[in-house]
Amino acid sequence: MSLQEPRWLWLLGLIPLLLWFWRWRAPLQEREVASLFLWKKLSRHLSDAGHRRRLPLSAYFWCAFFAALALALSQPKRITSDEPRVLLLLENSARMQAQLSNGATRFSKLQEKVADFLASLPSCSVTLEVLPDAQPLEDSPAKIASHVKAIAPDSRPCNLRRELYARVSAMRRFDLIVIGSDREIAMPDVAGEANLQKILVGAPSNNVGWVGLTRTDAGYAAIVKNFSQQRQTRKFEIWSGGVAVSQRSLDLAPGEAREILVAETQFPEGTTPELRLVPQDELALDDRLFLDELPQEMRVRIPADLPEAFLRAFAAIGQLRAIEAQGATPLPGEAELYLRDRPQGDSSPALVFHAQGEVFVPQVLRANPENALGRHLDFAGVELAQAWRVTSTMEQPIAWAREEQGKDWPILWSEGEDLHIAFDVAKSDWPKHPSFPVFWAAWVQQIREQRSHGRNLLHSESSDTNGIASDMSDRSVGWSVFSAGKAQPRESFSDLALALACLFFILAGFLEWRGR
Amino acid sequence: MSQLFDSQFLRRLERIRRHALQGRANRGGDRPSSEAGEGVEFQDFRGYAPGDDLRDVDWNAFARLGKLFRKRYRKEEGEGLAIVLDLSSSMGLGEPAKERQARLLAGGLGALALAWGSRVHLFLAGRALQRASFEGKNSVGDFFDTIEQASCQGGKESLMQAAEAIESLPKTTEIFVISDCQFSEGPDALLAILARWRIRGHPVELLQIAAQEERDPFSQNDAVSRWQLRDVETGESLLCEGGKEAVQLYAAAWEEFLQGLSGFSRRHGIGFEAVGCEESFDEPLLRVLQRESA
Repeated sequence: MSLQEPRWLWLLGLIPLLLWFWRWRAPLQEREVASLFLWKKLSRHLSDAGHRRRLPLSAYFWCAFFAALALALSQPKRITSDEPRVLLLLENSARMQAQLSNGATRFSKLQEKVADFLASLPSCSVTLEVLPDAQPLEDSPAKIASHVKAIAPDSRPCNLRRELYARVSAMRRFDLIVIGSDREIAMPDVAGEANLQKILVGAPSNNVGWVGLTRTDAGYAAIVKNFSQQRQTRKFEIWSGGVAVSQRSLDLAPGEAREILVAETQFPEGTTPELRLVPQDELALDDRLFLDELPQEMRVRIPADLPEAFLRAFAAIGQLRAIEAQGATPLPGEAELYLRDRPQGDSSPALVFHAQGEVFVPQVLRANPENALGRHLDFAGVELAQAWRVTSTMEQPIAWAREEQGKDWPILWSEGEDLHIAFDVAKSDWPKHPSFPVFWAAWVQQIREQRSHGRNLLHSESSDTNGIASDMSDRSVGWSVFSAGKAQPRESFSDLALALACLFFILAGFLEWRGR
Repeated sequence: MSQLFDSQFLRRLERIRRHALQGRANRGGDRPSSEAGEGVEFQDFRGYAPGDDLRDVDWNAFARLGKLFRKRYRKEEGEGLAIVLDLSSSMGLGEPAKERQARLLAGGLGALALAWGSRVHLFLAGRALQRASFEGKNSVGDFFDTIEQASCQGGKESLMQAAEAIESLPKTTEIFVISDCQFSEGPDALLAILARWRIRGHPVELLQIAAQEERDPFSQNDAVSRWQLRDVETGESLLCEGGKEAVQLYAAAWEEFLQGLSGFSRRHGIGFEAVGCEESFDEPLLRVLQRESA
């Protein structure tokens, strides 16, 4: 039996005070007697017997109440097994099949890291769950390692955060929870008493984004925000006319947003200033990080004349989990939007629509005056299909479109040179999410860059050097405890102690009430 | 009429006297006294004086000599009675107080003895030992007054002093000790004195007076489990705590105390009677008289 919060044991100190209180409260009657002869004998016997006095029954219940309360607050736990228990949650979604620069996939890198981790474990019981749908498998670390090695790639999507939340209650019985993924930001906190270890494979979180350029009196400004929980020093380049003209370095505290002046008004006329985050060896621009933060699906209603193009635009950036397209053609009824390699072996992705049991593989769409996207100045000349580098050889659903009749809100429209998109916040509050402005500005920025430079800013290649087994600072204690081989499986008795405390409280109160 | 020895007391006493008269009369004295008195053995003649009892006039001598002579008889010493009455402070405890019962018993015993022609030696053991002797029916009133007026105070020291005073009495003097036997060091000292008297030849009776609160001190207030006890004679204090356990232990201790007195008395030929304060005085008195008659 161990106590998680032993500091509450100070409540036990109240028990002697209670006894003293009852002793003080008990009436003391003075009495004259003929002789103390008999009483002295009596007192001696009482003292020998250890029965100095009789306390009322309620006193015992009060004492028991405080003892049980102290026990409940101390959170007693009983060690139920000599072997600690480890839960290994691995993500094997399609995104894990993305290749690193050395040709290996993220998942193969994860397999390698997990094998190292399992080899380092002392004797324990490991439960393996491979998301999205694997059944739990419990075995020794060595056997689990062989299972992990044999896991085949899976092409299905996985909402890691949701899956983990669904397992939170089950996680409570484990001493150590290990989550393997390429998305740290998708990993939720688990039960407070559990030790959490994250194995991250792939590009670490960039988590720095910027709100697109805005023209001010002073020139062009941008808001840069650090979404990570760590301080970052990042470099930004200011481009103009396809040439980097200056460089800025920013030291951003966690969550800090700062407006920076990108260019002054005397910027050469006819050129558009641009702000680029300089890729670092260990950090690549990865705007998908923001997407992973989406708490809910984004729903956009688009006018009938823009369905396909807009769908592709969003799908290309991978922002949407769902799009309700009104009058979306050529997507009658429900449709799924996939991103996959082009059949010709081209590295450029293609958008694939599944609708009514048929697969549509649209051609690469280039914005032009003939299509809806191209009619808007901002999208002119954008080749959407090249906006996204393929990350999987398998089909990966990234968006769904469903026809919804009877509602024709034109929440996306253009006025002049401006593109207006309204979001139905009644159905989703994602536009209120802190990352939304960054996402939105980045999206526009990327489209603009596409247009002006003909290059894909979303190009993001993970480096295998970034395959790390990170140890979150606030979890390091738990990890070291586990590494020391201490057995930690526990069964909590707090609830039982609390129930007993309530029972004693009621009994004591009843006796007090009846005594009056 | 005194408050203590009132008409009701006297009526009860008369009933006891009649009840015990036969046995007592048959018993008589053991040996003649050197003093003339109202005995049955003739001693001599004395000239008649006004006021003498006419029943004592020797009418035969008057017929022969023409003068009135009163016959005198030898008084029997076996009728002498010593009453040692404990009037220490502890006798003032109880409801009714133990001293009241003790005074009634002493008064009853003494009055009966005086009525039967015995001399009564009264030892009042209060703050100091008081001694008084009474003889004759006419002294009953004085006897009652003496008992009633004695104050109840002091310790048991004067009771111990009575031991020496008793030494001067004839061996046939019957000794009644009326006390609660509550000594701070236990009743052993008193019992030793009683045994000494008994060895000397005195018939001894011990009447132990106890109040209800002494027999069962816990019956009146169950809620009280802490007692600050004070010895009324020595002033010594003692804190006693206990609940049910204390009740049981005290009951056992009291029983042991009584058994000790009773057993000792039985072994030494001492009459023992445990008397409660709440009893009517005539009941224990009758028991004592009946035991003596037997």
